[in-house]
Amino acid sequence: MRSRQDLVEQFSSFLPFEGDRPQPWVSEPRLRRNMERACQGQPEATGANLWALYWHKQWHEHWPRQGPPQEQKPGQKPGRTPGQHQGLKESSSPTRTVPPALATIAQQHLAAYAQESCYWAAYKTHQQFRHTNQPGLALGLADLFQMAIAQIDKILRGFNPQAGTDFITYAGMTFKSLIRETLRQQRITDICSDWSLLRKLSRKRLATALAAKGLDPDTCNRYLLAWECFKLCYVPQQASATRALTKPDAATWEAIANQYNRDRLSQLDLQAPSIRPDQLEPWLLTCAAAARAYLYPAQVSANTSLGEPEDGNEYLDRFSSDDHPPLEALIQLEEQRDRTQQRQALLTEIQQILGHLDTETQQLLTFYYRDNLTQQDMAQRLGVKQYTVSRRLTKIRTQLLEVLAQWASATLSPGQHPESPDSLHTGLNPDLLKTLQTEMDAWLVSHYGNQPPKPNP
Amino acid sequence: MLPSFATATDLLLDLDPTAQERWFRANQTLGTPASRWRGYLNEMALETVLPWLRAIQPEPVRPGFGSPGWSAVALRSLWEGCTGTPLQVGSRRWLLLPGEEIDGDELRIPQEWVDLPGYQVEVVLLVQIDPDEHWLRILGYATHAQIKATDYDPRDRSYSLTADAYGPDLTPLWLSPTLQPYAPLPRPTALPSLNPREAEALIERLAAPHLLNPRLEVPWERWAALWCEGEWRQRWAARRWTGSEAQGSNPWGVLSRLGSPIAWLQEGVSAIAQGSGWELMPSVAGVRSVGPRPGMQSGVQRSLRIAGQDYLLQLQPVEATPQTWRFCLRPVIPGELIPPGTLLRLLTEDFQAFEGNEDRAETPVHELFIDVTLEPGEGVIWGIEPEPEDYTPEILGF
Repeated sequence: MRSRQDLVEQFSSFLPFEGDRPQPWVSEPRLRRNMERACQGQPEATGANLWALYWHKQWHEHWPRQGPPQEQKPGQKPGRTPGQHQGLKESSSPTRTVPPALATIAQQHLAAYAQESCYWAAYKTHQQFRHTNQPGLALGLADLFQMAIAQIDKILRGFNPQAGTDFITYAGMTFKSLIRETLRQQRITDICSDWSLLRKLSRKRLATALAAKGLDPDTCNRYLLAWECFKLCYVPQQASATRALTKPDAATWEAIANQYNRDRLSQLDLQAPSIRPDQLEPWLLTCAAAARAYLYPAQVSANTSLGEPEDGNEYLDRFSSDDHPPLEALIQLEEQRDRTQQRQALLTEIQQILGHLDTETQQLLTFYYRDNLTQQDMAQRLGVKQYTVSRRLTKIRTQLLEVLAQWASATLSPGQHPESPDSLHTGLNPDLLKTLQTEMDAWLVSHYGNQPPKPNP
Repeated sequence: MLPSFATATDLLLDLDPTAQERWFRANQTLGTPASRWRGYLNEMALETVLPWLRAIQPEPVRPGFGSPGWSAVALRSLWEGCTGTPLQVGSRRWLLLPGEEIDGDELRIPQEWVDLPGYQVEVVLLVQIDPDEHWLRILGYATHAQIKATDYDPRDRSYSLTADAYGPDLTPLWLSPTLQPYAPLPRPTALPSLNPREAEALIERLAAPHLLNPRLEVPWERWAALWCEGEWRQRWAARRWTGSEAQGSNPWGVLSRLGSPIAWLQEGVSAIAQGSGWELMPSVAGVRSVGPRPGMQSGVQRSLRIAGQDYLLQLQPVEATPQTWRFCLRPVIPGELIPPGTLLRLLTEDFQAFEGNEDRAETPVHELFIDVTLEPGEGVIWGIEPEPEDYTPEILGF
């Protein structure tokens, strides 16, 4: 895979695969034109991260805030579906509206920009699994890549432009986690029987999956109630047999139906009829099927996901207007972020702390940030108990976060303090702390990522 | 094992399959399929996370709120109603929230832990459990404020916490106090209180065995008023627990089964038993009267207050006699005597007496003791006259 250097190319081209081999970059014409025009309008903006901030702000301002479809109250129409797991291919329901054009195109620019970091995340994960002979891991590099890029929304939602982390660094870290997490969920889902899987879903996941299948709200609510009653009545009979549950027996079906018929009066719309026990099985099997389908989203085909040509012209016209924020504001933001003296002092302080650590702790941090080992693996390699690893990692990461947090606390604008009626002894806002933590982790990833790897013992 | 898919930031803790069986069994007496499984998940979370918390940070950690912590009965009565295990971590109130959900899209927190006076928690520790692959994963934490900002669902009276809304990394909780993400708790809405007659009627109504989800049977205020009052909640729970007929018909209802002192001597006293006051006996040789006798292995003990005096109830294996244990009651202060009329008694799980099951002080004595030989799995109930303060009968299962 050739690394892209040209700004326009970075924000408008995508990486196709032939089998597991990356092919030459493919330019998306509308994105290319859009980026060219944007660059012409702001010739002094030459940094890729600056443009990433720009497009992120676009996306943030115009993307609907509600996220995946909410559960519908009886009688309501389904709401909008910002394409989360479906990439940008809309589902077939005609009542769903398309996300605003401005947000979509901004998202696509960022998806293009993130292609390389996504590729490397998929590549590294694939390399690691090739050596471990995981049974049933039939996924190739291209599959992992698709799995990650399909979740670009999570990257966009989690990225905080005010943090000191570059977009591409943040994306790289998050893609890796996303891949692992999705693989884990898929693996468990594949092993579980339908009845077991039903017990391992969150309500939100099931509601989203049913809506994605196109069921109307009233039906969704009935199925959800049946599912709640199922969970109430049917549990594993052994401490470790949660994955191979068989179908409930007749007595249990009856109990579930009874509970459903009791609860529907208070929980469902007024027309909801009572059910017989034999109606439950198909409902619940539909739920399980929906949950499985949801975990394997339609492939995102970036080239064709921008909508109809007429919409394309509309995008370009809109971008020539004065709607979007001036780039200078973003330039200022980036400069402010990078050059504050305090930030320099901060990094120096952190480097000093790291320099004074004993060898074993340095080793731990390298294992953690460069090799992504689990605590159990680290404990094994160092010949200590997991508790010891936990304690040491916690201690050093707390120490480092403390430095960052003290700095943030001293330089906070009033708007970032948590609101509280009697604001005595309030700490820092947990979201701010999350951002600082990410920044710290990103910095340590790059610091330790350059250490030469040691051979496996 | 899962670790090959886990990222480094995954906090994975191992579960011991043998212990899982014990925890599963201990919760089989709870009233419904859902509450049995719920009790199992919560006890698993408690017994796994509490030692880990103690290992990685300096603050004392106890099950339940306040000091000395809540008994096993108190904790299990919570789980009879809804999920969540309270912890006192230093001066802070935490909640362990276990779940089996694999998608992480949403975690649901019962309103009891957010809005009720005396039960509001400052931090919820989100925990995912896989009983089949024997691991527990700490997903992150959420503050009370973050939870209050989420959607409340009146259908099941819980707050729905989505993946964006909580922090995946616990490090902020260990920062110095001015930086930690805590904020003062909002004042909870006061509840209308129940008088004893109303409480009794409500307990009667909600004890009905056909109710699979008693928590949602009555309006929130009435449920909350009952649930908040520890003694009422425990009485209600005990009415729903299933045990032998002898257990069901005695005035305390079905008793809570604590774990096995055999296991405690090998692995440390379980968290749920610690809440009931059990601890390992100090093993310092040569200390008079409160240490282990020479020639005996160390044992377990708990403090009791009886008629204004402080005592220790000690339990030790009798060396050279397999499966034999000595229950011993002695005053804490060396040299003090037990007043005449005091009685130490053991009963079987079915409240049956047996030969040699009592030791009474006819004159003032230094100690009362009973030696008993037990089969594996056999349970024993201990009792004392006069009744100790805050006494709740419990079964020690060997």
